[in-house]
Amino acid sequence: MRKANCTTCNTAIPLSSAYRVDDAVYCEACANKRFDEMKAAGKVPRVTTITDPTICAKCGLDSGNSELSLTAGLPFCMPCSQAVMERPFPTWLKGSLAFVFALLLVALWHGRPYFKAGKSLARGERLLEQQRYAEAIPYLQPVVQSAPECEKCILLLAKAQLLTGDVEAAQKTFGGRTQFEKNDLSDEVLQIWDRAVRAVDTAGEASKLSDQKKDEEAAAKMNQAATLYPEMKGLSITAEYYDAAVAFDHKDYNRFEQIAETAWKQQPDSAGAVAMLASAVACQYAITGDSSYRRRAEELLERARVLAQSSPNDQKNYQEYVERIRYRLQSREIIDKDEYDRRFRQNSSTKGKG
Amino acid sequence: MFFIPGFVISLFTFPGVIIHEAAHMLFCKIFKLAIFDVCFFQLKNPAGYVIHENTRNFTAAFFVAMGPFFVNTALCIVFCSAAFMPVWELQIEDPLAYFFYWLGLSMGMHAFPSTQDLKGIWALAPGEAKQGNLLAILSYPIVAILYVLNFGRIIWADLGYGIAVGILAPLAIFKMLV
Repeated sequence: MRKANCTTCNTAIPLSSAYRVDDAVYCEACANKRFDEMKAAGKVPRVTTITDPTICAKCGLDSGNSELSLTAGLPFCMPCSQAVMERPFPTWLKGSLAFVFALLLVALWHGRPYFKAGKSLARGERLLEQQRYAEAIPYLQPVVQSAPECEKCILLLAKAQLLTGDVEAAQKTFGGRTQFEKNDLSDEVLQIWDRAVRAVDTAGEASKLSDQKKDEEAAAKMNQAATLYPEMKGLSITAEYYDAAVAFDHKDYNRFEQIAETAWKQQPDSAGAVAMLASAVACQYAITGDSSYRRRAEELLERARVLAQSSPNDQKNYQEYVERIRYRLQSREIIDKDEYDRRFRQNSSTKGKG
Repeated sequence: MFFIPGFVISLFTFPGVIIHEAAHMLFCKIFKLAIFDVCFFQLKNPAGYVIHENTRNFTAAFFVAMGPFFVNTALCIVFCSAAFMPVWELQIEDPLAYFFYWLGLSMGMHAFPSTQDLKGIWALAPGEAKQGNLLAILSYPIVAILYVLNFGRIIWADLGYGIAVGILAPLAIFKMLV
């Protein structure tokens, strides 16, 4: 240990307990006194502690008169020098860090299904932006299944379903939910939903009018529904059927054929559309007697038969209209279904016109 | 703006404090600086500290001071990324995901280096910049922004930073991957 004499009281003190006030060395008491004096004189003294190069700065080991080697500018004994230079991370910290990294792996593993769902959501969203609504549905459906509380997911799927005309599926997606956080997406989807619901209601009214044999009013209503919600192809198709019924009622067989032709072009694989065209062509045959109409009607009936195989309901309908159309072709007499049923059938319950 | 005592914030975000100090220590070890004392967490101000050797090596000073900023931010991004989808996009009530988000935000909140650390870089930067040290030149805006943000802690800038990093970075990563 080295000693120094206080500049004021001349007492010998350990160097490590001495203070330097500006350039002079003092014991603690004299240093404080000198500091106060200088401060009172309006000066700002510089006070520092003094390092004894023979005392270890960490453990206080006294090496007598021999100076310790400096580490980072301070005297340290060998073990302390090693300790400050090679200070290890504590075991608890290493354990905690290992735990954190294990958690990180768990977090990434745990997040995999969410990432997959998120990816699917992003793809679905992108397809929606590109107006590829039908393609977006298979991406958005699993997202809603895995995140049933996700409003954005529900709204995006419902939007895709509504814009492909599938109101029923959209209703299932909403699951009775009508309240969503107000934002651009919810406003847009609820507007489409409202439009679709109004269209479906209007179509329901049209159907009732049709049952009451008010064909013209029914066709007008159905066309209104189809215009309101053009995404639902079924509405425009039904509107065409209703228009065809009106044309049939008015004995405007050219118009009937024209409508039926358009409907068939729109849905070439529909047994109903093929049958309606067969019916219209049979009417043309009944009026003109042109055998080319008859041949075409027969061909169309055969096509309708083949197409109807795929569905029991289509088969049932086929059985009903094929009889009437064949009668029209054989007799060249145009009568509607009610009249046909009255003459040739009992207990008939199916709907139809021409 | 409501006031919550610092020790309460530290207590609720202690993993971030520990990682912050561990990052300081890690860079001290990388640059072979003497470490005189370390406290990884305490319920006092400061919540943790590393007392290390001063250095004139700008790179060492920069990385020792900024280490927590990089390490805590990176861990904030990774943990929040793992929890981002269920918490923000899919609105799934998954406790584990919320736990990871808390962990991530704790890291992010304690990413800022202390004013003391920044002062160290700020003092060395002019000399180094004059000699054309690119890191010193680049450090100016970083240190200036962090200095301001450090004062912004009073209005929860640290929490704001954690949330911003915890949301925007995972979102950017996700957009990049998809």
